[in-house]
Amino acid sequence: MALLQVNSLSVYYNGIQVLWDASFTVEKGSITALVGSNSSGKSTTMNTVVGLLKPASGSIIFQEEEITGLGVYQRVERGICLVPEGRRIFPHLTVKENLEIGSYVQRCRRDMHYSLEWVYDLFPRLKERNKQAAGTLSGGEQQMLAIGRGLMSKPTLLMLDEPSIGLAPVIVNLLFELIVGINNKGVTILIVEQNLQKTLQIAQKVYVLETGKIVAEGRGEELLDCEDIKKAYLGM
Amino acid sequence: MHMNYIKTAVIAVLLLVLFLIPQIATTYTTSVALNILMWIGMATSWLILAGFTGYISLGHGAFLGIGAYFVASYWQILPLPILILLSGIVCVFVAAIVGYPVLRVKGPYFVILTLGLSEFVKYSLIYYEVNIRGTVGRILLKTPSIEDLYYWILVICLLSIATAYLIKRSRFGLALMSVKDDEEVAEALGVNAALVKWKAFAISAFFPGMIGAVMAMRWTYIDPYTVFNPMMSFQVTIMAFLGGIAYLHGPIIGATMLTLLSQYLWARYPNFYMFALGVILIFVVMFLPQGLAGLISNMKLPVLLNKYKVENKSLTKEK
Repeated sequence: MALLQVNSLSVYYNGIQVLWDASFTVEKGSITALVGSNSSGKSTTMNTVVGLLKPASGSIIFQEEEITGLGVYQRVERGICLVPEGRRIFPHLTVKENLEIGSYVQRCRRDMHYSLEWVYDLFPRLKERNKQAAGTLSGGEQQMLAIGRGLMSKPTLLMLDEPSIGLAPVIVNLLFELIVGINNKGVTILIVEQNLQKTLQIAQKVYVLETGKIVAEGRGEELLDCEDIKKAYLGM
Repeated sequence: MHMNYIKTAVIAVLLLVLFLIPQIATTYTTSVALNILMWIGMATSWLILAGFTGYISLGHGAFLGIGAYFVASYWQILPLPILILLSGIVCVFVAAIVGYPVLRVKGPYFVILTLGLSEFVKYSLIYYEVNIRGTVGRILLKTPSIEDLYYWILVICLLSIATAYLIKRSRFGLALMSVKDDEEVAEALGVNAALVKWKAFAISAFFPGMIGAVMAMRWTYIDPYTVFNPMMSFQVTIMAFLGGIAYLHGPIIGATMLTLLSQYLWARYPNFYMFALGVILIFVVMFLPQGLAGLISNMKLPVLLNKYKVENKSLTKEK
């Protein structure tokens, strides 16, 4: 069953069209990836799904309900969550306050303490540092915090925008294991990544974007085997 | 634990002194204390929007002017407590109406816009006073004694501190502070940024409205040029920055110090105050970005307190 269905989405950013007639679906329980070179429209797609950008045309259907016209907070209330590119934690708030903001929406408030325990279980480092200002964490810890903050909203669909960017290789391996682990807990994942090798290994479905258009799609392993697509679009 | 007791004791003594001032001190001291409390109330209520969300308003003084004019318009028509309360409520409504479009503007544009709006209110009122009413100012007769006014300001001031304190500790306060750090991400996490900013703006306008009402009775003569003087807003901002806008006690420290300084300078070297204000602003921005409260918490105090704690622990262990 499709959890998220995006139909012919066109988006303008500062007057320039950056997404052209993009359609894709994210199956419930899957890991779906958007790949492609820089400025191919991957982040734009995610920002539009969460509602930070408004599409010029097209529709977004989540859990069989049209959400195209809803505000961001209404989408978070329905279970969509974006972990933005570049971590973007709140540097002056403590680690714990960052996480608490994650369960700000009505649906998550009552269960905040359970969510907090879950996130602390996943990332014991965050528990150790819970009273520290988030800006003082290392890059890897900040990414963990950004993901943990996203999980605090108990998402049905977790969107990760370039989670491995700027992280040491050892941490990257950990991160991908973690993403699979979160997915195994039943959270559907839509991921944008530069690290193609790893992404294609974990993703069941992959869409390839090129200058704002979806040019290819397939199962992760299929694309890994398809030399033409790898050469033409993925630079592999 | 020990620290908390000391803190509570200090606050209790302070409150007692504040409460007793009109009974035991001279009229002059009472009037200085009244001024200090008024500025603390202004700066602390300013903090609810500007300090928590980072939306620096240079229009906070306009609410004081609106409160003052509201009182002047209904003077001796409505009973005093209702008059003061209504002055605050009127300002909440004005802020709610103005705030929704204004708060969509970000960064330096917001700062300029608030300044422009408060000037707009001032000149509209001047036009109304001169051309329609045919007056330049208003006189309030039979105003309450300075002691009575002192207690009104004390209550309003404490109320604004309590409100800021409760907001800072609440989920609402956390949402405001997340907006300050990164508004876009706060929204992506489900914070309705437009709504929380709007609420903060409306709440912060309540207190200057009531303060304006009381101060109009204190001044007994008001005209638009004095009660809508943009210097009011500038002073509030400078006081808060001097004390440190990341701390709840920042505006309290800043307002106390600057008011005392102005009392001292006006008495001895008139006109020097404005000069001093400028120098202080430059100094704070360049060398004390976290204000005096930041200086205190970064330097000596925590070290001393930790020392105290460690000694205390080792003592109990030996026993």
